Amino acid sequence: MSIIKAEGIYKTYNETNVPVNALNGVDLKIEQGEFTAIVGPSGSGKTTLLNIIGGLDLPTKGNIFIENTNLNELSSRQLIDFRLRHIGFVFQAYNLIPVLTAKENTEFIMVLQKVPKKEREQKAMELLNAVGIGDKADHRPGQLSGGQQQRVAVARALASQPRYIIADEPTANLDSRSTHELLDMMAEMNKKYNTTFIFSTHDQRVMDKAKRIVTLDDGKITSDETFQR
Amino acid sequence: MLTSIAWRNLWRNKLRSSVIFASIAIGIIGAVVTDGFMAGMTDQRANSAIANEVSNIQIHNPKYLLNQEIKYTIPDAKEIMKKIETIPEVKGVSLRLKVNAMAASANAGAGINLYGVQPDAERKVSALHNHIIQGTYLANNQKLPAVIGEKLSKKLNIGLGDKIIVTMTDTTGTITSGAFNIVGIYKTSNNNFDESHVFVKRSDLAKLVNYPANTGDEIAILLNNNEITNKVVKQLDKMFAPMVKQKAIIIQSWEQIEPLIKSMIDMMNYFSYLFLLIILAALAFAIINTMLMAVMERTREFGMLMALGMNKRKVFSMILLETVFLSIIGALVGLGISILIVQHYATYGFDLSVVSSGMNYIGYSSNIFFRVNSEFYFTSMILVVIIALISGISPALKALKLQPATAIRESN
Amino acid sequence: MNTLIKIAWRSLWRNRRRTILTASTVVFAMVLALFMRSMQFGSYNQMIQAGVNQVGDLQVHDTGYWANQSIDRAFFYNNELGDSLKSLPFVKSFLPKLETFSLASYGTQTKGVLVTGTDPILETKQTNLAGKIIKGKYLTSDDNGVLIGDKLAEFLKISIGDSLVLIGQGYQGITAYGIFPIKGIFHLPSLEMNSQLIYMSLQNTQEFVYPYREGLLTGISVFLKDPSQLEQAKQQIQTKLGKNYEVISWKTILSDMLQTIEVDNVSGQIMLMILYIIAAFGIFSTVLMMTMEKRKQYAVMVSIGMQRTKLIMVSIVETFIVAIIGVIVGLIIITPILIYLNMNPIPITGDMAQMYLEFNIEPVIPFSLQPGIFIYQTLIILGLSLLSALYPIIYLARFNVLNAFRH
Repeated sequence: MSIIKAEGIYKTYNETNVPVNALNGVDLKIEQGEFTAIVGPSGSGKTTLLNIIGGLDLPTKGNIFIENTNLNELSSRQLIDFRLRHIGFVFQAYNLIPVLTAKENTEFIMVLQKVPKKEREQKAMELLNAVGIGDKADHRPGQLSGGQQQRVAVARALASQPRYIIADEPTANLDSRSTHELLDMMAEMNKKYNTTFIFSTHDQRVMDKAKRIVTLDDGKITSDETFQR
Repeated sequence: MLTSIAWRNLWRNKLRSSVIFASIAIGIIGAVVTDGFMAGMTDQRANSAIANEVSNIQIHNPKYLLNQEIKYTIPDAKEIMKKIETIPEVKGVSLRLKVNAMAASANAGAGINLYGVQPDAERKVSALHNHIIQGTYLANNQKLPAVIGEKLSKKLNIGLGDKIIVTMTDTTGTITSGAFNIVGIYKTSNNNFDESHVFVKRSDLAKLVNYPANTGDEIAILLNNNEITNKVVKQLDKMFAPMVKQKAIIIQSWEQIEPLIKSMIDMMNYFSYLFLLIILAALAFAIINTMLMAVMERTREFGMLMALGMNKRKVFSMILLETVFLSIIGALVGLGISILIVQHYATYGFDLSVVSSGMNYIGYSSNIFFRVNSEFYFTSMILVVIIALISGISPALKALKLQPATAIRESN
Repeated sequence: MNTLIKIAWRSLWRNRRRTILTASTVVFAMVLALFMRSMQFGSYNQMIQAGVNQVGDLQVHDTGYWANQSIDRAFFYNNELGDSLKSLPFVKSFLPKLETFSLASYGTQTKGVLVTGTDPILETKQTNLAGKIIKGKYLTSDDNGVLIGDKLAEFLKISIGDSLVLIGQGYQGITAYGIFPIKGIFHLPSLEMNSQLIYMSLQNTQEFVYPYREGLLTGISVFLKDPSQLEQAKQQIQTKLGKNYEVISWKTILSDMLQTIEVDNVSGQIMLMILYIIAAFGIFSTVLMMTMEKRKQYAVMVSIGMQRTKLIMVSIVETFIVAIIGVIVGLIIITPILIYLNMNPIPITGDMAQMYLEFNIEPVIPFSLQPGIFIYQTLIILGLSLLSALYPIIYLARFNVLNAFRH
């Protein structure tokens, strides 16, 4: 069963009195364990699609099912809770709470899920080690490089044990080496824990590592290729 | 051009600027309206005292002031009065006989100041005849008339038509008493005055105490205008220089006779300014905070400006200018509103009747007309600019500490 | 909850300067408010104390005396009355008084004065009159002499041993007349009292006003052990004595003074309100900026699954912490100062001192340490601070996550 099923998604913005059709009929199914990139030129609607898949926005027309739950039917409070339990996020920047350490940031999501103290402390260290920055556990984001911050973001995303992780241009602010390191680490998580990763990107290096590439243009899917990697 | 950049920067964050405008405006309104109110209060007290109680100027025999013995009359009183009346600013002159006495009715007694006056002349000097609430003021054709204050009438439990018995010593030291008919009851805004001042005809009183005719203990002078009091006192001192020099008479302004009123006025004024300063100090915190935040937000921009070649002094001045503009606008809005409020209450008066009894106790009426105090407006504007400049220094210095390269890097 | 507090606390220290500035606004308002209120309440209490010491917590008169204070409304003391009063547990002491107006005369000077007949021993026990004698001696119980104020002595040009003539109203229409030697001259804090008051022994006064029967009084001043029991005491005494007597509290007797106090109280509160509003605006502008700055952070938090209510909690806790710090620092600064001033009131000199004397008050600025002042101001400031936090609460409840990301 697909964990994500987008059916006939349309999204129109009316902000500036000129209607913008960001998505014009998108159908997409994503399975457990995928490592998928959504690509396209600026204005293609990839961010919009990602927001909808991530439960941050609702379609103007169409349905979005996350494992049989129709997001349209949830109240805003329920949506927030849904995201907490099922979806992980890695943003381009400003991911972490600046006043908490790497360890505390990772624990934070578990605090929200009311995981008991001992268990979450253990899990947090485990994840930080898994993403390769166990030694920086007590550093605050201000003391970490861009690449290190993104690793913590991934650790945190994994900590909630989500169905899938949404990453919106996660490597946009990183140099070449950090980009590779981050992607390799995420690919490993994907292999090891079978976590689904969905990126939006226009970084070729990211696309090179993706197992499936969905291309959007003018709000419609123009190609959908799967690779053996 | 620096000025116009500074000006436009204010409007970039409308919400933040509005909050500061509002704070400063409210602060100014608070200070200015309070000043209008307090100034109005003290004005009223002074004017009321002058109109009903002390008049503008009084002349006595210096020995009388020392001893309060009625035998120390004013020499050549009638001549003095004739001369005084030639001064155009004088509205009225009254010759009085003042005696310390005890008043009694059928069942109670009280210590009083008994004033013997000439009704027609007295009307020109004291506004008491306008405050009669029952009966009439003294008239020449009445027989042994007396006019008493409402507080006294209540205390002695006597009213119109009743007799008031007064006992005192005459010029030889003999105790004597007389009865007067109450023809009128007055009420001023000063309970203490009403309780202790009784007015009768001078001729009646003089007979009672064996007093020489055509003279008195006190000459009271009312002027057209309260502001010229001191000027006229100087004029009179010159006019009667030989008498003053010989210490035959002494000429005093109301401020010297009732120094307490003057101190009260001075004290209220002092408090008004103090309050303004306190408000401005509180506002300083808000201004510093806001400007600091504005500076921190724009580090990138300052870095760029400095990289482009804008020197430190210009950046400093720009921020200072912004602070001053911010403060002045708020202050002007506040001032505008305050002026409207003060004008309104200066015309229609502010009603405090809920606490009127307490007000009367300390000599105030319960309807206060605010005073328009241009000097205060002006001073508060200047102080606002000064406070703005002082508050702006810290944030402006902070902006200077940035190195252009660091500031630009922050953006990436 | 702990994590929320942790986040709030650390956020404040991350931007130390701003936190300190905002807290300083609170400190400033707190210090000023407490100083002013302490001073105001200090003087109110001083005025009331002086008044009550003079007139008593309660006064007993013949019915109708207060409305019409004539000597004819005097009453005769009987032992029953005394016993009734003594038997009441809350009565500390009581002073019988006989008051009447007279003309005092010496040489060529005369003045209307208030003659107060009182029991010298009881009187000095209550008001320490003996301690206020500056010349001559205090009265004995059956003394024929009188005590006069220094200003009055000056006016009449009379000194110790000279004979003062008093003519006044006697009871039931007789003329009270007497010649009395000056036993002592006193100085009280009030100008009015020093120029209008004459004390005589009760016996002597009774002879003066009505020699035909003993025990004439115009009133009895009652002093309570616990002033806060005023109302109950009044009712109980009234019930006990019956309808021939009236019991009046000091609040009625000094009602003019109370109203003056009220005027000052209200004006003080208004000025403080203005100050508070300004402080609140200061806090508000800071909180506003803090919220705006952290929009992206808030957006991330809501995205990853943090409920908005929790976000609002963080904001409230932040504001609250700043307010509390301000309050505590303010209290630390001002309390020792007020304690010192309470024990060493500021003396007043010059013309202002004169003004105080005119109104019967000792020329010092006293400071009150009533806990009510501290509690009340603290609550107001905390309340206002939390009110300033209203804006971020509203923002956090409604903001659109995606828009926050975009800016």
